[in-house]
Amino acid sequence: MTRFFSILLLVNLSCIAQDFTRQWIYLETIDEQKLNADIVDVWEYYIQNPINLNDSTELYRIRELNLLSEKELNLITSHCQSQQLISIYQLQTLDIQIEALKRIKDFIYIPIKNKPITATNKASGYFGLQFQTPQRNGTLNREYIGSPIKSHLRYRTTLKKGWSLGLNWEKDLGEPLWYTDEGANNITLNLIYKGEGNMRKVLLGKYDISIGEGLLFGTSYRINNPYFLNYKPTSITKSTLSSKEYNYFEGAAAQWRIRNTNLNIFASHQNLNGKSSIDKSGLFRTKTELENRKTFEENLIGIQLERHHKQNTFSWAGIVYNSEFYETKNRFLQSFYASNNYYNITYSGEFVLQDLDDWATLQKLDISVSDNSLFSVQFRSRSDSLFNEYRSDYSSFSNGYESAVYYAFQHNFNKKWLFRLTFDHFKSNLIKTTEPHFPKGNKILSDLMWISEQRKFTLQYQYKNIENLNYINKFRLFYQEELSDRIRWNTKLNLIIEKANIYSSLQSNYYWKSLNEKNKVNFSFCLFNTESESIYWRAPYFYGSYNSRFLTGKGNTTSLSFQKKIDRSLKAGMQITQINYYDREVIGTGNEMIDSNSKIEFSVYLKWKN
Amino acid sequence: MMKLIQLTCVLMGLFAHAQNTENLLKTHFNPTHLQGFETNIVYSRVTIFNREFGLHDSKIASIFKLQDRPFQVAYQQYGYEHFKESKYSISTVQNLNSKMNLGVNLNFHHLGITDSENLKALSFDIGYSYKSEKYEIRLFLENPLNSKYIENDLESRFIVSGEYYWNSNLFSGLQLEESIHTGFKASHQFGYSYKDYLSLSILQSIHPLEYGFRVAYKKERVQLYSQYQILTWTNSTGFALIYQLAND
Repeated sequence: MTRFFSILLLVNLSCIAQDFTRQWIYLETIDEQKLNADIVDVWEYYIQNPINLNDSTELYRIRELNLLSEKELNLITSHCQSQQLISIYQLQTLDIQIEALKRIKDFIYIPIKNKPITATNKASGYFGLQFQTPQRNGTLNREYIGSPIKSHLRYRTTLKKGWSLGLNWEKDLGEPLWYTDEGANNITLNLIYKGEGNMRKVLLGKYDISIGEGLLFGTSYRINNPYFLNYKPTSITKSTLSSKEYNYFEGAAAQWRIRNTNLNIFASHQNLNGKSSIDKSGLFRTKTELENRKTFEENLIGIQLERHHKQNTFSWAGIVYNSEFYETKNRFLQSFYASNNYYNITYSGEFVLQDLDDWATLQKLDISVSDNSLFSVQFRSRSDSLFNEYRSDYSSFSNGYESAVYYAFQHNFNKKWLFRLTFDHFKSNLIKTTEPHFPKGNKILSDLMWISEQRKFTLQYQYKNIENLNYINKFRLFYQEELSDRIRWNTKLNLIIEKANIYSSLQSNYYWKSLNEKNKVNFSFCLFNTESESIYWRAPYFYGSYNSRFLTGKGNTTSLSFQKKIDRSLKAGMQITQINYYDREVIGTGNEMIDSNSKIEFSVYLKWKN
Repeated sequence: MMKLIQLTCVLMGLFAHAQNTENLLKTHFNPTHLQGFETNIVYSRVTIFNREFGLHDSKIASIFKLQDRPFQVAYQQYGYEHFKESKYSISTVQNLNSKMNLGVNLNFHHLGITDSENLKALSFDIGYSYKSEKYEIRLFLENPLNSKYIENDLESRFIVSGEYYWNSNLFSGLQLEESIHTGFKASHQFGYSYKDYLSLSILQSIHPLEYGFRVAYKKERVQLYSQYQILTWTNSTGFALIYQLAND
């Protein structure tokens, strides 16, 4: 195995390390909820498979990057649809800040005539290790089968004639890299074909499915928050090299395009984890946990037809889903999706059917007024027996079985001030044994944002109330300042008010980069004070590490990272994170228990790219 | 028990004319306040919370320069006859560049309770400041590694504060504080100074709701501060005396 790693390292030593700091900082400032590990996977994908700005059906995938505002997206889209570009630098003539174009520059391209898009060979690799001290009981008692180190290897390369290859291999702390009887732990090998002819795409391996508004399937990166006013589905199937151990499909998918019509077919076969319910933890460290691994078969086969005509899109998908988890083994699922643009009004809606019995719908109308205001109304409903495993539509009840009306308003007062306000009224469709049998509730969310080149300020308020339950008020304050060309500082305050209790956390992040931008040091400190409600903490971006936690209790957490660009192809980083708890003597329970109220985590990585 | 102290936390301003002396009165001393002191200083402050029990918070300290680096040694005591918590501190600050400073406090804590064992602990605090022409930002990490007498009994606190100077006379300040023992506190302050010898500050905490005022008078090398605050659990009266030694 060591030899294999060494070969990979040597083969790719002449590469440029990709850095998503610029993109990460943008998302952090605009909406922190958009940040998660999957968005990096999306960016990685589009680095490898950039978006052709001259292809009108590919163009709208820029939205998937989440790196532009609605206005910037519309400007670029309408500009590219009106003419064939010769260079991506023509976008500089638009009324878009140069910083926004820099964010998407690596993900877009204009094909050079008579030159195949895969002429330049691209390869990238990543290797990361993570371990913590003191060690968990599972390691100390030898209950864990594997070593107490988390390791992660990822490799992508383009091959000849439009093909590319991806490998992802990850093991969690306590898991082995290879199970004696069950093979490799969480390994993915993907083969992707991208073409210019009728056959546009072939995927073999692990992939995501996103259909319509995501009422049935939406496993790709998507933001499930109600500020996501204007979601437009982009690709139906997309290869993924994410380490996720649930919420994906495995098999083959292909896409053909004949004039304005896309035809997608996909088939998946995989073994899900769990016994009585699906195990989504992805942790198989002990013999008991291993009994849950790959226990139930899941099969899926589907077809999707999609037609674009001017500003209209219609699609139908038919899927046969089969899982040993359910009594009804085969389900026939259908999705009908339509979207229509009429001047400044956009309608989109999805209606789904399960075996012609159960249904769900999401109907949405967006109205933009000038370039500065956007109004959105949405109705959604989902019957209580509908297939529920891979949906991604926004919902207020965790199971999604609800009927709701949602309306949102967004206004840019000027280039610096932005205001957003959202109301959501919902009623459960799943009967409860106690009164109220169908609880109702409502939510309010509002944002006030001020952004200048040097400073950013956000004040956010959320309110949620469900019948016969306590209401919750949440305030969030974010302030960021560029102290100099090389130093950025921000602070975040979270306040949660539940009954008469106030839970809070105060965090500061500090980012430094050297003059030549080869060295980066990030520091973060957070003090949290909660009881029942958890508070979300996110350390500065550190490539390859899931740097976020839900923290409950009283304590503080400190994170320090150092990242260095060794040469034009190689980048390395190390991070140390400590958590101290003040309200407990030990952390965790059972095998996960650490016999101390403090723990330290170390992470290191090496990244390369050509 | 130190948590009682923080209830007296007040946002004190930064008067440019007064060589930052008002910052010396802060309950939670950010070592970056030491930057800018060119003369040696001796100061003392007392805050009385309850005269009947003799409950008070007092501090005596000296600031001096050693090899061109500012230091402070301080002794702080909180409590009454049967309960006394003391802290011996040494503080210093390092200039990172013309705008940024990084400082550290090293503290020795001593807790004495009648008919009970005396307890001791060591802790440290870190301070950071960024100063521009018009404003100043400070971070203060108190006891970040959770030092303790027995178990979780020493305060740990994180303070983010900013001060904005409207002109040479008027400034305002905002402070966000998260404490392990008492939770969140937000407070602000307005300060006005008149001709380098008289100043007035209005202090208010938004959560919990507390308010007060402070007046200061300067005569040559001596500065006198007096303060009155209405806290959630009591009213407090405070005095401070600051004496600047001669340069030579």
